[in-house]
This record gives sequence, C-alpha cells and structure tokens, in this order.
Amino acid sequence: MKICLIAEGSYPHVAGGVSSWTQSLIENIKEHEFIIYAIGAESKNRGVYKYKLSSNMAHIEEVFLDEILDLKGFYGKKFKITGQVKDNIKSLIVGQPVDFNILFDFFHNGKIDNLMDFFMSKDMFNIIKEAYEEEYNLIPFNNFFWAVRSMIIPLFFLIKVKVPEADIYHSVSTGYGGIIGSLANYIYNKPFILTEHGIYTREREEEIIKSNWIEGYFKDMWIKFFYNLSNCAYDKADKIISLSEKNKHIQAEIGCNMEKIYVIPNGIDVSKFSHIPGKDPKDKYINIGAVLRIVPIKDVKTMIMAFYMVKEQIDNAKFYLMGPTDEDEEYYEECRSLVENLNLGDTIFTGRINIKEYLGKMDILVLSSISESQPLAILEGFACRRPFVTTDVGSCRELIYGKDHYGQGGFVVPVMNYEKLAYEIIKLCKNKDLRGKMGANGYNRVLNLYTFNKFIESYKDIYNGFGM
Amino acid sequence: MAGIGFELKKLFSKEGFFNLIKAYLYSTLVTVGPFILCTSMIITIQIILKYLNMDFLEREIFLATVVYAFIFSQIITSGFSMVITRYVADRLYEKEFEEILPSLYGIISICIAIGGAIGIIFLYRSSMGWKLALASYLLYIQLIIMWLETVYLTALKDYIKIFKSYVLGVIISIVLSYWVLKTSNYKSALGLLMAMDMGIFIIITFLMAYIKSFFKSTNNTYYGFLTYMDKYPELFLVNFFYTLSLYIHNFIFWNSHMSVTIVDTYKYCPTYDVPTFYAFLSIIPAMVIFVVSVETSFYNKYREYYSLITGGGNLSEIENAKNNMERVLWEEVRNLMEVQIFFSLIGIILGNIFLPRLGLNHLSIDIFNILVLGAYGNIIFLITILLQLYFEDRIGALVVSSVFIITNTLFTLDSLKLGENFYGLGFFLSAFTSLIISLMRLAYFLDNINYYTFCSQPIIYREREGIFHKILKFFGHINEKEK
Repeated sequence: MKICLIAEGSYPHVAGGVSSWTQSLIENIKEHEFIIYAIGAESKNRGVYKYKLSSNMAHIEEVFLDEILDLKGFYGKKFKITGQVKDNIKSLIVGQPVDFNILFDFFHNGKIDNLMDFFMSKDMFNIIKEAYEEEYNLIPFNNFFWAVRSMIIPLFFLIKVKVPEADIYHSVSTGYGGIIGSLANYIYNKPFILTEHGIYTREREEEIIKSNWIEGYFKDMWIKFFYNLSNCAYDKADKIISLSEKNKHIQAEIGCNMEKIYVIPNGIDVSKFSHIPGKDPKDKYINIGAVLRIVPIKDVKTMIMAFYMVKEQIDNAKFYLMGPTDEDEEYYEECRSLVENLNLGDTIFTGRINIKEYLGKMDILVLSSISESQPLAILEGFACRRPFVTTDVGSCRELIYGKDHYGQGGFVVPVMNYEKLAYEIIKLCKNKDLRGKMGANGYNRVLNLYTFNKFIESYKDIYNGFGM
Repeated sequence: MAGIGFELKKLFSKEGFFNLIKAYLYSTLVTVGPFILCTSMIITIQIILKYLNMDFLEREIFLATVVYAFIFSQIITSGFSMVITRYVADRLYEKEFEEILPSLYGIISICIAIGGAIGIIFLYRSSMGWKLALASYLLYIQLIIMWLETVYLTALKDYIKIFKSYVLGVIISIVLSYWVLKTSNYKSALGLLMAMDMGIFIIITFLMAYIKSFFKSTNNTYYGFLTYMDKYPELFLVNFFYTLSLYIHNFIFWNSHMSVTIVDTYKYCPTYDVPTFYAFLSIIPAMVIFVVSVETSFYNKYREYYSLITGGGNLSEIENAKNNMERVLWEEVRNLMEVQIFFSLIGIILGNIFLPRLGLNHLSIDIFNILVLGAYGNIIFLITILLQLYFEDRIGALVVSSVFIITNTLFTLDSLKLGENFYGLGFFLSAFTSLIISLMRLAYFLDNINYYTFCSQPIIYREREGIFHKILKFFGHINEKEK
C-alpha cells in the first residue's frame, strides 16, 4: 500500500524525537511504500534532509509556510460565496466550532483559483468585519484585521495545496498536519490515522501564553484557533493513536472520541543495550547522569540546583550532563556559570557523545524537563537497568510507576521542584539495593511493554487493518 | 507595528503627508501652471514685438517655436515627474537624502535621451537654418530640465524659491529680448530665442544650485528611482495621459484643414489654439480654492480617519470618521464646483466682450465659449484625480485618465468631421464624460474606503519585519523544539 505520512515542522527537515520516530517507522515497515508530506517553515530547507531516506520512500512532498510571502494577489475581485462558507470562516476566526468539510470544498471546487485574490477580496474583508463586530468590537480594528489575516493565511494556504494520492493518510500531529490528513480524507475518501506524540494544542497554548508578539486580547483567539484545528483532526481521523494513557485522557478531555483512541507507546530494542560497558569497579563515585540537550525545556538549572543539594550530603556524587551543548549557546553558558557560582565540583558537561558508552557507568539517571511526551531516554535507561528520577511530565509517571505489576522504576517529582528532586536522588544514592531493585523493575517493564518490535507490529496491524 | 503598514503611517505623519500631498498637488499644478506663467511671458514679448514693429513672420516663428518647446517638453516629462515626485517624497520621509540628487541627474539623462531623440528627428525634417534649429532645440531641452528641477523643489515644498527663480528667469528673458531688439543686429526670431535661452538657462542654473544646496550628500545611484517605475507604473501613465490629453485636441486641429504651417516646420491652428489658451485662463480660481479647501477642512477629516486606523481606533470610530470625511469632501467639491461655474460664466462674458477686440473671429469666439465649459469640466476632473491619488486609488486614477485621452481623441476627431458648429465640443464632451466617470469612481471608492484601505496593500510586506515574519519565526521555533 501507499501510506502518506504527514509531518509538520519535523521530519525530514528537523532532527528530533518525532522525526526519529518517523524514520524508524518507515525503515521497519518495508512492505509498504511511504510518501512524506512535510510542512516546514522556511523554504531554504527544501531538499535538505536530516535523515537518510529509506528505500521504501516513494516521494517527498514539501510545503513551506514562507512560500506564502511569494504569493501575489489583487484586491477588488468578487467571489460567489455561500452563507455556509461565510459562517464557517467566521467561526474559525472567533473560535466557534467549524465544519471543515465546507471549507475544504470551498477551496477545492475550483472557484478560488488564486488564494490571495480571495484573501484580498471584499467578501473576506466583510467576514473579518462581521467577526469583529460580533466578538471584538472594542479593540483596535487594525490590529484585529492583521492578527486575523496572519492567523488564517497559513491554514488556507495549506488547504489549497494539492495532497498527493495514497491509500492511507497518517499524520504525526494535529495542527496543520491534522488538517492535511482531514483534507485528504475528504478529497480521496481514504482512511486517516492520527498519531499524537505530545498534545499539540496544549503545547501551542503554552507558547502563545508565553509569547510576547501576540497581544493579550488575541491570545485567546489564537488558542481557540489551534483547538479548532485539532478538533478537526480528532473528528475526521478513523483512528487516533496516543503514546500513553495519560495523553489519551487529555485528548478525550479536549474533545476526542475516546472509542477511537489507541495507545501505542514508543519502543526500543533492548538487546542493543545488553553488551554496553559497565562501571569501572575502581570508580568510587556515585555517578548521576542525565541524557539531554542543554536547552531550557529540559530545565537544566533545576537539575543543577538539585545536584548542589545532593553534593552537600553525598560527597562522592559525580554528575554527568550528556548531550549537545550547541543548540542554545546562551542557555548553556547560563548553566555553566550557575555551576561555577555554586562552586559545584564533579559536574561534567560531556557534549555530544555516544550514549551507549556512558549509560553503563551511571548509577542513577535524572530527567527534569518541563515538558515531554514519552522520553526515549527513560526507555534506554531502563534497558540498562538504571533507576530514574523524573519530573511529572508526559508519560513519565506511567513509565516509572507503571499501570502493571512490574513495580517502581524510580521516582516522580513535581516540575521545577529541585528540593524534592534532590531528596529522591539522595534516597537512591544512599541505598544501593533500592537502585538495583528499581533498575530491574524498569528493565522488566521495557522488555515486556515497550519493545521496538511491539511498536512496529502494532503499526503494521493498524495499516493492514485498513488494507484491501 | 503590524498592519496597515508603511504607506499610511507615512501619509499620516505630517512630514510624509505634506510631502506627498503637496507634491501631488503641485506637480499637477506645475503641469497646468507653467502654461499660464509662460504664456504670460510670451504675450509680454509679443506685445513688445508689436510695439517695436517687428516683422510678422519672425514673430510667428518665435511664437511657434516657444509654444512647441513648452508643450512637448511638458508631455515628455509629465509621466516621469509624477513618479519622481513619489520617489523623492519617499526618500525625504526615509531620510535617505543622498539618493535624491543622483536621481535628478538620472531622470534628466533619461528625459533628455527620449526627448532629445524626438526633438532631433522633428528638427531634422525642418527647413529652418541650423542656427534657428539649434536655438529651438536648446530651448526645448532646457525646458525639460526646468520641469524636472521644479518637481524636486516642489517635493521640498519650496514654492517661493521656484516662484522667484521663474520670475527672475522670465524677467531676464523679457529684458534680454527687449535689449536684443533695441540694440543688436539680431532683430529676428533667432535673436529672441537666444534671449529666451539665456533666461531659461538662468532659471535652471538657479534651481539646480538650490537643489544642490539642499542635498550636500550624494551617492551614485542615478537610476534607483527606476524601481518606482515598476512599483507605480500607474502614476506615470496617469500624468502622461492627462497631460497628453490636455493638448491632443489642439494637435488634432493642427492637422486639420484650418492649420497653418510656419517655415515648413511648425503646424498650428490659431482659430482653435488662441481660444483654448484664453479658455484655460478661466480655471485659475478653482485651483486656488482647491489648495485652500484641502489645506483646511478636508485635510483634518482625512487625517482623523487615517490616524484612527493606525492609532488603534475601533471600527465604529473609524466608520464615523469615514462618514465625516466623506461628507466634508463632497461639500468641498460641491462648493468648488459652484464657485468655479460662476467664474467660468464670468469668463465667458468677459471673453465675449474683449476677445473680439483682440482680433478673434466669430468662430474662435464660439470655440472659446464651449472650451471654457470644457475647461470647467477638466479642472473638476483633475481635482477628482488628485483626490483619488490622495486615497491611493491609483488604479481608479489610471482608468479615468485613460478614458480622458481616448474620448478626447475620438470626440475631437468627430467634431472636426461634423463641421464648424461642433468645434470645441469634442473636448467639452470628453472632459465631462471623464468627470462623471471619475466622480462615480471616487464615490464608489469612498463608500468602500475601509475595504480598500485594508486590502489594497500587499498582504505581507517583504521589506519590513511584520507580524508575518514573527509568525514564521514562531513556527520555526516549533520546529527547533524536540517533541
């Protein structure tokens, strides 16, 4: 079969969790052909791939949002636009429920040959005006007008693009990717699968709330807009796949039909970690490690503060921060100077390394992120039988405590709470048996529930279930 | 600030607004104004000639040469002057002063290349002596330079300086002409033309010195303004069509059975040309009123409207300001039309009393009467074009100026065919057709001005870091984040 994978801002242009996941899915399901529909931000990345393309990749369709900048239109054109279309665009603006099929049909039935002409038409202006009068009539109209324009242009732009034909459409996020999947489902009447790694809308919501370029009174508008996009995907997808039980419940909360949601966690190949070098018997230190990129979302500073508290009690503790430091140089410098100011000895930033050479040397692993979906680092740590102390994000709790009989693989603490983080690390430092026990629990959990084979087989089943 | 963008902010900021508006206004006045200033000069010289009993043919040669040089230098520069006006206004607003002087050299070189070629071809066919041809050619080229310099000074809002230079040049021309006639052996058209060349040379030297004193810093981007030809081709065409149309009815009569040819070179049609000249004198009041009314009541409302848009007004405030602006605009236009019709009728009465004494025949008087009304339609039409340009309705302005040139050509040709009773009616009908269409367009545009204000600009400004770039950054940022 031909499977069209829809990726937004990830595969194959950007390296990262979702992209690696996509790559391994394609590489390991050789019996099907894959098409990639990639939505990127900047067209300078066209053809610049971070991954070696698998032999069963038939084609990559790339669409970049900055291509909107090259679109030209002319004002003053008139369009025959039905009340239904008008109401739906208006709902999109003010954040009411939208029937996306109406919009799909409107942009694809050939009436709109130039998107910008429509965008600059009086019809569109009047829709924006009415939306304004209904919901926003006291704020500066100029700001509203441009905020709305910038919000919906990328969406209309993507809806206008022709989707390649395939037998199954599989989007790896909601948002714009989810819209493309829904669109393909509408046009070709082919099954649409949605895998959500994190919770797209929640992530956007956080970003919007934090952003300084969206004025306060528009934040709500933007957030509702993204919820609308996600709801479209939840509504149109035949199957929705979540990485964890936790996410499944959040999706249902947002408005997804629980019946459609399946949980397929990520998996790793445990055997790859069976022969890694272990700890040097002469090593007198207790090695505490974190596998991470040095970036703010990983909240490295909280970790360092926790290490400081650990070091006060455990004299022979040594800290390893393993991963690239060049992604956010400024943040890395801040972390470095924090270590210096605390006079924290035995703290090593390793930079980019091969994890397998280091993991075996560790006694305890730590993860203090503010946001995660399903960290591969935990699965790998468990594969090496190492206990983990993590913050309560993504599916960490599920991985550490489990909804099974394998027992505890470590501890979960609240986000940004370095005292609690330090407390649990110290507990593990002081108790070697507990470390061994928890490491073994984690290992058993991964071996039975989170294997790579299981992950691949689950997807094969889903694909084949839609087959002929 | 995201949104309505650079153009409107510029319009709204006093600096930019005045530059642009005054520039439009005066560059257009310059297309009509010189007609009056310079013809006064010619008349004065003509009176002196009469008084000094100069040879009639020589007088005719002189007159025809000067009229041709004036008309064609204006037509050649008309389109460019509108575009360059915009260019200079923008450069002033952007404080990119070093770009201005080189663009003047650039535009002069282009206009001289085009105009010069046309002039050479024209004079090459002529059987005048080379001295006369050279003197005529010099006059024509100098006038091209003079109009362009004038545009630059209007952009600098230095009308007094322009006026002084002109007056000085005109006086020098007149005095020199008198001196040439009284004392030298060149009691001929050639001598007069040389005197004129000297006068105009003084004007262009003075103007150039003024401009140079303004812009000390300079660079080598002589043809940077050509990007504006891409950006605002409508402006070029609007003024070119309008200016060409002002004279095209005369050109058609020059090729009629009534035309007179001088030294096998200059055709003209005194029966039609002379009344045209006098008829156009009748519209000076309208220009003055327009300047005054725009400077006062309308400008305030206009400013209010755009400042509400850029300054965070909500829609009902904007609508309110829009209605006020519309109301005032139509009041002003109506007012102006009423006052001008009064002056035009006075003009007709005075013309019918005095023109026969100046030797105009019965047919010319009839033509004068209808052309006064035509000029009336034409000036109101010009004002609506200017208003369209105020509101950045360049497309509308282009449409109506195209209508003007097309109808004027067709109707004038028809009026010639139909016979004496219809002479002048072509221009009259064309002026009113264009006027009605332009008023309808302006009314329509004003009704929808909110839409046009928001939607006539490109969705994304490439030049500036607008909201859109932020959005792209936002998505870029998403991409950089590990999920």
